[in-house]
Amino acid sequence: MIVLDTRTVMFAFSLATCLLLGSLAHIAPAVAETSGGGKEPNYTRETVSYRVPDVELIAHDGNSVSLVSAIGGEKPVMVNFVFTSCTTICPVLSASFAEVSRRLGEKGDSIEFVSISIDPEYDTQEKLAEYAKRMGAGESWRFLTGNPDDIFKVEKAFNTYRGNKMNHLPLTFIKVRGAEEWVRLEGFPSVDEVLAEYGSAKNS
Amino acid sequence: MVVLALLGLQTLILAVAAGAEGDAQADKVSAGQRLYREGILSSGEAVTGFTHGDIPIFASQLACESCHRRSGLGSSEGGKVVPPVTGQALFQDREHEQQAPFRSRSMSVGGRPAYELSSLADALRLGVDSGGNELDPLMPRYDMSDSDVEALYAYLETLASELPAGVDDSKVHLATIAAKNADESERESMLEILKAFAADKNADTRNESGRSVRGPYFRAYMDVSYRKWDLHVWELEGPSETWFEQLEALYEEQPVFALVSGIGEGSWRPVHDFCAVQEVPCIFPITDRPVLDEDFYSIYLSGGVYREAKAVAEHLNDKLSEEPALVIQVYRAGSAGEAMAEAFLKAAEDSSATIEAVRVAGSDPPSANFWETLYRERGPGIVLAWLGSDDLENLGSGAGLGPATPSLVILSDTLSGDGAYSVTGPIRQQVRVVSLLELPERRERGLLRLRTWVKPRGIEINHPRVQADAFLAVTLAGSAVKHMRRNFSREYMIEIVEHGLDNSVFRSVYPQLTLGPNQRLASKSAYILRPSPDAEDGWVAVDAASSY
Ligand code: HEC
Repeated sequence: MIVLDTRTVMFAFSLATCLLLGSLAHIAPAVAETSGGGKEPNYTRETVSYRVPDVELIAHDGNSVSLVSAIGGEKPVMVNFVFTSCTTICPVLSASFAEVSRRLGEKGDSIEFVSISIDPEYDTQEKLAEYAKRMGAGESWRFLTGNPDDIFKVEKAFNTYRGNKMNHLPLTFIKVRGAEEWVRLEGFPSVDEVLAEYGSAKNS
Repeated sequence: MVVLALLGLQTLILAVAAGAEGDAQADKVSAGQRLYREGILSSGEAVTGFTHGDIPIFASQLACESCHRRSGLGSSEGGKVVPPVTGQALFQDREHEQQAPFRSRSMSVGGRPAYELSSLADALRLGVDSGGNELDPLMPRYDMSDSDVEALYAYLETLASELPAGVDDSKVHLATIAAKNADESERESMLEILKAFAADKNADTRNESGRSVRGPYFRAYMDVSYRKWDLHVWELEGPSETWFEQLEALYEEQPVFALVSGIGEGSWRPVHDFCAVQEVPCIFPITDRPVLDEDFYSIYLSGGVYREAKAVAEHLNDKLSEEPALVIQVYRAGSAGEAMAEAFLKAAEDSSATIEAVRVAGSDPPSANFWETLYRERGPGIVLAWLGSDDLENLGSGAGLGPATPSLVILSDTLSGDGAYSVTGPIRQQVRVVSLLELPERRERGLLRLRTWVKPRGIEINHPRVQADAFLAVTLAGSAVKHMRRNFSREYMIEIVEHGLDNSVFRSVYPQLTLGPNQRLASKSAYILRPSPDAEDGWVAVDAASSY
């Protein structure tokens, strides 16, 4: 019987990643440090303009979707980037969308939700449909996948591309009706915080 | 069914071995496992809780396993590090670690006493660790009964609790499959790569055993984690259907920690099932007939004939709905070609096309007469010739077929190799080849790394694909074993490969290799090629299907 050393255990995984990656830069947390007790904010906020690329994507219901008409117009929308086999980050982002969309839906808000897969090779339409069900997605929430080149364009446009899907960041993008700019939240805001961000963007 | 029956057996063994009083404990462990992996409480309900304060979560969204992983050794994604929750990690004191190489709340390693049942309950329900510190809000706060906490406690205690079979104090035992029915020269080429890699490891040229002495974080630990490789060559006899029992016998004689690479003719199913039953990681075997059910323990480089068949069905999609579409599949009974034909039938299930089968009999390649008769009798249909290279010898005959010329002749790179590209005669313009490999002109660049590695070792490259696949498998297995350090866990090994592949510079002969948690097929792309209109013998991609 071998005695495992917890300190070693603790770092082994991240170290493995770093070494395989050949660089520490990619793994070093780009996310604002999260607070222990939730006293400091768990996310950072920016307002940015993005040019939505003119690409056709496929939704989890099988329909073809023009990204510009889905998220580039006047309509209020929230966007995140996920992949179905992702651990830790995406399930939490998705759980957040599920609750935010439920709460806003109850209030009769017409905002739409779009989750874009950053692993289009694996995330077929069928995989997304299954994922949508697993996450408890309602009517107002669509999952999109597509040609890897097109997805790459979208990731670049929203400055989410980090070279490798495993290094992806927890990001939530909010655009209120008629707005030019997006609110970009990086980290894990609570549901109340997302709703407050949406509310204050609407009032500004 | 085999798998199901045998997996059932495992649970059974767990229960039987425990004895009367142990029964209760075994029940707890399996209830804990269910909760950990699937998020199902002992009541049968899905567990619920909140992450980041007010984000409600339920079982189908995320179980403990999604963050702490099946191994229990944690993970790191997008800068978030999830700590290990194995028995060894939780149920002993943790000292404050000054030299943490990474600093963030979820990664910091504050000191805390060993967990007990009550402090574990507090961690799970209230988000307070055994030292009274509040846990990162990413760790959910769960709604859980006492008996569920007890079940988790019992299960976590078992996680990575002892050295897995195949690892002892000085060695890690690995095996590769060298089936006797594989092409002998390919088999030897594969073994040469694997053995050379193991020899390097054991010569400790990179001084892995001593590194810790200089490294800041692993001062005292590395020396005990370094182990020599003992690479066992499992030479399986007879057809693949008989391999399962042979594997079981070999494993009983010498348990191994993982299977690396491997080669053999026929369905890989018996090996796949063996790996599932014995919970042995099977890393990147060289097979045309993988099992794509995403079982945890087997990871494949390519989808073989199944992926090719699907790409062809997608490519033909429009043509298959034209009236009247006729597709003729030509193959030998019992061959990989037959497996491909079945896979194509399934993939084209919804089309209205008439799909016929023509089985080649006898040991000689189909004659010129065979093909001419086929073309003339069936008219200008689409011919899918799922045959080996030799069998294509006379495919190009039939000059002057006129209206009987098939509209397309589709061949498989996996089945026919170079033969698929060397069809001559008027048929050539009709030929399309489905291939999972990188385009020939780009392939060579991908192999540079391998060439540089083999040169000083005096190894010739005579089967590039086989050797490149073996090299990829063994280098990934090598980094995984190394980076596990002393946490020898089979599940952890797979998790590291899942995570590490995307960062591997070497990608063998494939256009792209990527995996993710629980993904089991690394190369998802397929090309459909046709003769280049410009160059005599060049080929160009007409279709690049990039999702599987
Ligand atoms: C959304 C991801 C996530 C899920 C799901 C999750 N955890 Fe955690 N868990 C974490 C993170 C992150 C930490 C580290 C918190 C910190 O360092 O403050 C943690 C910490 C812990 C700790 C404390 C470790 C220590 O050394 O003090 C225990 C115990 C634990 N988790 C058990 C579980 C169990 C059991 C489940 C399932 C019932 C579970 N976790 C589900 C992310 C998760």
